[in-house]
Amino acid sequence: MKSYIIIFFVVLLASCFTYEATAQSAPGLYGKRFFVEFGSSVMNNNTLNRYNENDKEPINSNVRALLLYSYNLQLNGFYALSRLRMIGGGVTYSRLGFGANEYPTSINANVNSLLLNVYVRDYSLGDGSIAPLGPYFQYGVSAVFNNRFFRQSTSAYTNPENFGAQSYISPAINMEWGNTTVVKDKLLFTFATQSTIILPYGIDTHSKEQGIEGIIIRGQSDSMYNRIFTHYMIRFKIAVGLPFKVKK
Amino acid sequence: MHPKNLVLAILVVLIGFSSPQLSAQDFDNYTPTVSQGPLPQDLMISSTEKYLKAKADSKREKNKRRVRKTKEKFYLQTNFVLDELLTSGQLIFNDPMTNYVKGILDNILKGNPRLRKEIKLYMVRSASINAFATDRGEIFVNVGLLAKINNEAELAFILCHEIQHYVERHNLEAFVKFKEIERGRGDYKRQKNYEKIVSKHSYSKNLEREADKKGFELFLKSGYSLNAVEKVFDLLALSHTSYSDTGFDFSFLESDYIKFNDKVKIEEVNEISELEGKDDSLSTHPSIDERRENFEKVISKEDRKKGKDFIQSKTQFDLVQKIARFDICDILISYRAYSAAFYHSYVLLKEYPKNSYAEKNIAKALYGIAQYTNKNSSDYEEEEEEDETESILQGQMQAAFYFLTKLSDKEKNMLAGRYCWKMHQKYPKDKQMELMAQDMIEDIIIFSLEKDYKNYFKKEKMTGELMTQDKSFAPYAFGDLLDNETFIEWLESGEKYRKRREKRKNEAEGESIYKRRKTAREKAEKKRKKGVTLGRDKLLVINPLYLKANGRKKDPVRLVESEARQKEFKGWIETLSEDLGLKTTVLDVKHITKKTTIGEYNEIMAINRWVDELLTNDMYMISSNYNELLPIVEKYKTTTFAYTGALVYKNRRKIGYAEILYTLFPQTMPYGVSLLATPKYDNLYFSFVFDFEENRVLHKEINYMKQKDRDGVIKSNLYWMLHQVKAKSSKK
Repeated sequence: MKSYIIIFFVVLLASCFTYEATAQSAPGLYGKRFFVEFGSSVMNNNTLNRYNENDKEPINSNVRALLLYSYNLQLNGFYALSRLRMIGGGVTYSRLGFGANEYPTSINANVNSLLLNVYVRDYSLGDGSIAPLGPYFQYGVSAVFNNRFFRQSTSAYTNPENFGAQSYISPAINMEWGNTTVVKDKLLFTFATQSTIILPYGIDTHSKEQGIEGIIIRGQSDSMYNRIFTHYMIRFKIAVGLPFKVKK
Repeated sequence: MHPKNLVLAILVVLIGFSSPQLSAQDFDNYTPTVSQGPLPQDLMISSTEKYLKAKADSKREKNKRRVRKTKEKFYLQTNFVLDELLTSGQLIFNDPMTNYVKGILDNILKGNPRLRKEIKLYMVRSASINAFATDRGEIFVNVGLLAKINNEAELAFILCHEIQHYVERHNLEAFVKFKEIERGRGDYKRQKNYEKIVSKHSYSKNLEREADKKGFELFLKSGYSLNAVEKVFDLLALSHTSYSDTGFDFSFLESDYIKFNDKVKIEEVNEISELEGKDDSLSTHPSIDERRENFEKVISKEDRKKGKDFIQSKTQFDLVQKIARFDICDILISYRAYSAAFYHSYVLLKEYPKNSYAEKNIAKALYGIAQYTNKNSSDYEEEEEEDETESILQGQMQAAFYFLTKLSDKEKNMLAGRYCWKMHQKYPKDKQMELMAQDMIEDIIIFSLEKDYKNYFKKEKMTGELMTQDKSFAPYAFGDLLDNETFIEWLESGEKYRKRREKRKNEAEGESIYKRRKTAREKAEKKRKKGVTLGRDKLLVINPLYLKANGRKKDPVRLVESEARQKEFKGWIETLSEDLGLKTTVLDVKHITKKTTIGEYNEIMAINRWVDELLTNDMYMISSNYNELLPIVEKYKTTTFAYTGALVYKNRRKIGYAEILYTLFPQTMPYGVSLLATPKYDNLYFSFVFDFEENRVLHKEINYMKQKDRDGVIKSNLYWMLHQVKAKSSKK
């Protein structure tokens, strides 16, 4: 699987370079070919823990359930390579909660998650788009860095104070379908559906817990992976962007 | 000389030059009439302004709400439609013809200066026999009418009729009535569709009768001869025939190398007669017989000897009619009515032998016929269209049409090639004739010869013996030119094209239609993705277009919004070009200001005609007004023209399963709601970039978009077009 990821990454880069040859034909937004975008993606999330939330409790009100969204913040940069292609990179920051209640242990943690992305954004000729405006499909690779901070443990065999932090890195594949439009020639608005598939090849980079605490934490790895996977799987993004002219 | 006398002499000379009677038109080197003098105020006011003014005036009238709304709709539609006509390039103003007709109007309305001031007169570049009036006070007279009419009095009678249409506001009245009929109100309740159509025509005929009656009353006071009335109806009855019935003799095209056999000679032509049937139930005008009868009764009571045929001078009439008849040839060429143009140019040549204008027009007509013959023969899918006019052809013009029809495709090419070559030799400085001759000779090789031209053409003359053998003149047509260097060079150039064409054809033969189409599609897509690099520094954009329509409205075309947007669009072209460093001039007939000169107006019209011909011909063909553009290209120092615009269509979004599903799930609800709340767009942005020297479309882009026509989206498309014009290829 890892070799597939490498192949995917190489193909992605190669496709960028083949387009580089035609960069002189990239119109961008009236000549502006560099864009910075700031946004947030949201997802209705009424069954999973949120930041600083302990064990999941059932939600009684349907209206309240509808309004329970999880958020993240994104900062992206793009460069228009041609009429129909842009390349870019960005960072996404999320805070989410993690809860596991399996006898004889119950733990709750906060997770700070940072997602680094590189991607290619393709526009379709059929839609008559000219990058950065119009409907697009974006795909690329990501790396997700998760820092877990354990807040609470109710295990009979452990000391709660022994629980601390744990870092975890995992590769991912990202995709996005969206539409960008411009207001007053300067402000870009993007609405998109994002999907980031976290791959199950994480590496524990730092785990100070030893002994039984460490065993318990590592025993929750699958649940943790599922939580991160669900968080990034599908989200709705709203973003605003600014165009810049790149001097040759 | 006494200073007083000197001043007087200068005045006489100056007046003499400015007077139409004395200013001698150079008919030998005739150039088709263009507008002159100051630009009419009407062109400087936007259609929206005109509409809003009429709407405001209408509000002051005491009308029922429904009638007021109908009238507002009328003002909206007519103001935009008429302004479209005003800026179409088909109108001429302040020229000798218009000024002459204005003189007649002055005579008719000398007792009513207020009304005279309200009426504006334009000549229409159309060969048909017609005149019409609008509720805004414009009277349009076709050049064809002036070419055929017998005297000033006849024209005066027609003008009186048209004036009454304006005075009585017949167009508005008919519009309101027609809406009433369509809605099935009052007497029109429960009428079937066919009955409604008859009712409309019946009402229209009543208005015509009223205009006839009141127009005649005005005519009686004008001092023109009553004999004109009957003559006008004779003229209308024969409006399908030419102004001339000059016998056609093809010998002027013959030489030692071209001779025609009898198969091209018609035995008998159809007699000139009236076409109109007696049933006028589906006609907007009463039958000519009925109108004639009505007038006979009235005229019999009047003194026929009273009045004159000419109040202005007959010389003046003859001069403007001659201008009209010269113009007709160019008008017919511009409408691509080549056979009719051929005959009318022949008539001129017969009357004015060696007239260069007539000769060149014959060359243009033969060139046009040959080009379209080649186009139709090479496009095997296209069925040959029957010339509908042939069935109503009458008189000697039929002989000319017959002659042209009976020539084989090859003969048409040879004849056109030979005649264009002759014109090029006779007028070597005429660039258009040179290009036409070259194109024609190359086309002979490309389209008409199956074998090597060296084996095809014969050096002999066409003898009487060959004629009797019923042989075609085609192999002999260039017998004396086979040693001519230029001629051979052009033939060789044609040979190269033909070989390239054959190679392409052979390559394509091995492939299936599916594969050929796929390859072509892929090639076009690649070009659209990557764009082109034209490397131009200057650009002339002609008449940008912006049209908005909303399928959710009863009247889908949003005229007012379109006009406002068009103005913005023009501004964007200028600002984006500036950003790119591309020197762009936008010539837009819809945005004429006080600063616009008549010269600039005529330039727009000339380029418009050139662009129109290039786009509609859809093949390589030298435009019929090529020479007219040479000074324009010189003035703007660019040969690159562009025609660009956007067509925006907004419609109701059909709610399908996808939209419902998106809305039902909380996770996808925001997207679902946004889909339901927004209309559907089907927009087109188009741009055509032309090169005058190469006489072809350099680049065309038709971009279909499903996005809203936000400023940014349209500007982005526009920038992409301008960017491609400016971008230079990195390849050497």
